[in-house]
Amino acid sequence: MIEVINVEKKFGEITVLKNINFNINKGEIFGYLGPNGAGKTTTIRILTGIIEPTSGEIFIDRIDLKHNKKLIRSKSGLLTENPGFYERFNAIENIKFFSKLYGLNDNDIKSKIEYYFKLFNLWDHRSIPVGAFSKGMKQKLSLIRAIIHDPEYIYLDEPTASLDPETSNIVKTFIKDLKKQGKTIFLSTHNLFEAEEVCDRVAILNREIIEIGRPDELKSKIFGNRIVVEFENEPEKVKNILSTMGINFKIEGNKIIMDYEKSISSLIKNLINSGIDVSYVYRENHSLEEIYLEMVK
Amino acid sequence: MNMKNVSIIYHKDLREIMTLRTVKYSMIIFPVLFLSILLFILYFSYLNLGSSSNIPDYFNNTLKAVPYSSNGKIFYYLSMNYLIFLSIVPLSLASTISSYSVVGEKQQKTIEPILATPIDDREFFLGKLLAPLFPTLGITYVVIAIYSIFSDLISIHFNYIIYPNISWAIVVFLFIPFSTILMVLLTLLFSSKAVDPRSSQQFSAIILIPILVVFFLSMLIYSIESILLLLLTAIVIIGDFLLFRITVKIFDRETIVTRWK
Repeated sequence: MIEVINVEKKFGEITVLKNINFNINKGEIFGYLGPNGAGKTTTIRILTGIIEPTSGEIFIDRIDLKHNKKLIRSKSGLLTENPGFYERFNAIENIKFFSKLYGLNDNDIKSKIEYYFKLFNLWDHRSIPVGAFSKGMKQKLSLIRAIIHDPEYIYLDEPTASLDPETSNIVKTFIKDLKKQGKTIFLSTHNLFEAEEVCDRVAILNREIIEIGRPDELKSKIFGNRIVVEFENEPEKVKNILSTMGINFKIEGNKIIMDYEKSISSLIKNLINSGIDVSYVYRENHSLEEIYLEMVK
Repeated sequence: MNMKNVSIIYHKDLREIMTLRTVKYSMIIFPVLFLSILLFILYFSYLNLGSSSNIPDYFNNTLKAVPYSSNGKIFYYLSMNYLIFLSIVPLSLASTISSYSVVGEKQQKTIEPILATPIDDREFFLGKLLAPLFPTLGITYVVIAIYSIFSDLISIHFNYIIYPNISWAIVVFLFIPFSTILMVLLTLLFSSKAVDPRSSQQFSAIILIPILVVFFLSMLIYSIESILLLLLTAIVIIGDFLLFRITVKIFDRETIVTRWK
């Protein structure tokens, strides 16, 4: 479990993070959303012990990060925003170097490299200098680097940024697989569809946490839980029926938009009995993107 | 401190340096060229040594402690000075190699993934310090060995063997290693601010010039004296100590991640 308590980070006089509080449960995929400069990468750097917060406390598995950075870093895997590889080294040399720094022995490195390179279709490219790799291949290699030491906590900074849809899909599927293995994943992303698809909970950040919760919780919190009824004819008659039932509503064209109520079934019955043709009834759907835009505006 | 991590960084840097053709060739061509010129000058000087009656007084005064013939004394003096001049080789190599080691990390954006591993700042710094130091000193000692043997072969004609002697030992085992460390530290310091290896090399070359001035001054005051050489070395060691403290601060992870661009 990751516990972040009142974390603040200043660079000189500039406060880039303030009053950051959240918990991430074991085995959870936690989305971290925010505009450029919101402090997403800084948060990841703090959580991985690369830099220190100006104030506040962080506990990972109840271990104080401040005094146990090496231990925490050995339990963490990081996919950085820029892949960052030695361009003249081949893929295996690169992964070997980082694996050694994570303390893996030669036999482990060999077997894991073979497993992951085959999993990500990089095996045939293992002897090619990384400088010749495509962006997608580098990102896959970066993912291998983040997980080769079997970390419990995985921090992914924009993992699918500027990837083609196919590679992006491979990465998303892999993130879901990591969750199935019980890994805790911190996913910083601009891609709100991706966050909605894979995250159990999300935090919306703009130097401080604006909102935090499950995507569906945030939707109902921001937009309410609204039902749309589309009808074909007689809007005045529809208005009268709704008024007599005492329902809060608004009519936009041929749509009745109303808060969810248990009386929805009797409303539909009344409309049909009064000769109104009801064509669609559905819950108003908002994407995480709409929530995000609403929050950060 | 985990020396295994230091060794991993050291070996990675060394391998990376060897993949750079320009660095690899400059590690061979420059020492060979410099040594050849010095050997030629030394041999040419030997061939043109005058008779004892032509030796200026200041040579005799300065070298009165040297128990050789007059021409032998002059050859001893010249050979010792050229030996000090050989310190240009490690200074130049150290500057070239270490400027690539930090700027390379910055250009390839590999610093953050390294700092995310369980390595600490001192291990990273030490690895970066040793990677240019050992190959530089290795090449320099080969060059010095050739130079010393060549000098000895000539000095046989004056009925003595010039090397090893105390001044030589001070230059080879103290002055050269510590001035090389100074150069590596300087280059690491500049490369943390530089965006390409050339600019960090140029910065460190600016620092090299005063060192050369000190060298020429030392020639003028007849630095063949062991005490003066020890004094020069002591100054270099103090410089190492001060620069080490400054550079360690720059290798603080927060500085590396947020300010190394």
